[in-house]
Amino acid sequence: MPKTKQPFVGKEKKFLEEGVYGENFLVTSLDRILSWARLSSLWPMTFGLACCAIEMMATAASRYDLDRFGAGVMRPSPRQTDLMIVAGTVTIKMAERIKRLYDQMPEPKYVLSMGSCATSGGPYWQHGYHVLKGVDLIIPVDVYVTGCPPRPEALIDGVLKIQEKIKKESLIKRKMQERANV
Amino acid sequence: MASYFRDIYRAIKTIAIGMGQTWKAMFRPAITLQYPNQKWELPVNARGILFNNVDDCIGCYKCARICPVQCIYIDTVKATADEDLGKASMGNPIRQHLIRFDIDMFKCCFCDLCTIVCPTECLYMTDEYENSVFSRDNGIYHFAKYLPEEARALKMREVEADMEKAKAKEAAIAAKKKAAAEKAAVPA
Repeated sequence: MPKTKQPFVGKEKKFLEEGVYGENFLVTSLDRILSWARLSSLWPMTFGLACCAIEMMATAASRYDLDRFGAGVMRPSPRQTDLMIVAGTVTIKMAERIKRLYDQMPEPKYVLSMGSCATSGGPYWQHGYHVLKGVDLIIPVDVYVTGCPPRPEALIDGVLKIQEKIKKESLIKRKMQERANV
Repeated sequence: MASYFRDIYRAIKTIAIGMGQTWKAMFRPAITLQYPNQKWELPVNARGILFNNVDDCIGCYKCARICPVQCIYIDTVKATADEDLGKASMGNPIRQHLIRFDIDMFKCCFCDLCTIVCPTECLYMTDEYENSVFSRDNGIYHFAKYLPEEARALKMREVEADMEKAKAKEAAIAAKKKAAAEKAAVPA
């Protein structure tokens, strides 16, 4: 996770200057710390469909080590995961399974579409009778990664983008909205 | 009895071998690339995102034709006789206005064929690979030489010229028919 400085403003700054908080005291909102906890333990699902999966394995291995971002715990079950990395060609037969697996994942869930095939059908987008032309036709995708297949660094970049997205989200607001809608 | 001690000896020996490996690994330097802060130096022919230097592009369509997935979209308008668009840096005369040059990087399969056929070498692969985007449309790269309004005006010019040409052709055909009819009518 790239470090970002959060300058203290207003009341917080005043209290900090006056020494109200004392030393070694971290001030943050519950919302932010929830997001931080979520983005630092983004568990992806073991879900390789084609050649992109090889790059995904390389990303999780020691040379690139996706675990540095808390996203290296590849879970074998969709019920334990937060992130679905769609790595590879989505055939129409597989599309049903992907939809089912996505539905089995607990909220909040994120989808990363890795490579040309998963995003748009890739080399099969014109004449591929058996290929789904983009996984975003069946499930909502958060981040698209270009490449055929993408380099492991590119996949890490995609994961970092998802972390950025989570950072901006407010889980509490979302819950309140859900409650208001019910 | 002897086998009992042999087993103990074997157990200790095999564990020592295994722990030796672990011990060695402890002093081996770490190989992990600290990615966002640290990057590989890529080879010269590394394939990354495509880039088109539109000032040198002559709109020859060679890249779009050779592309196995047809992810390059080009539109051109022919220059009129009194227009001089200059030359590309390799000496090829530019004869067309390039009003559209789009590359869909989400269809690209990074085969590098388009850069080989490019006669002016204006289309090449950069060594950049990090372009994850939040929206599908952001993966389409637009390389533009003209503003959208200018491009539209050029396109309109071509359409109007075509229409005029078609009208002239029609008129010529009508005239021909008329002449033929008159010719046929005279001897009768």
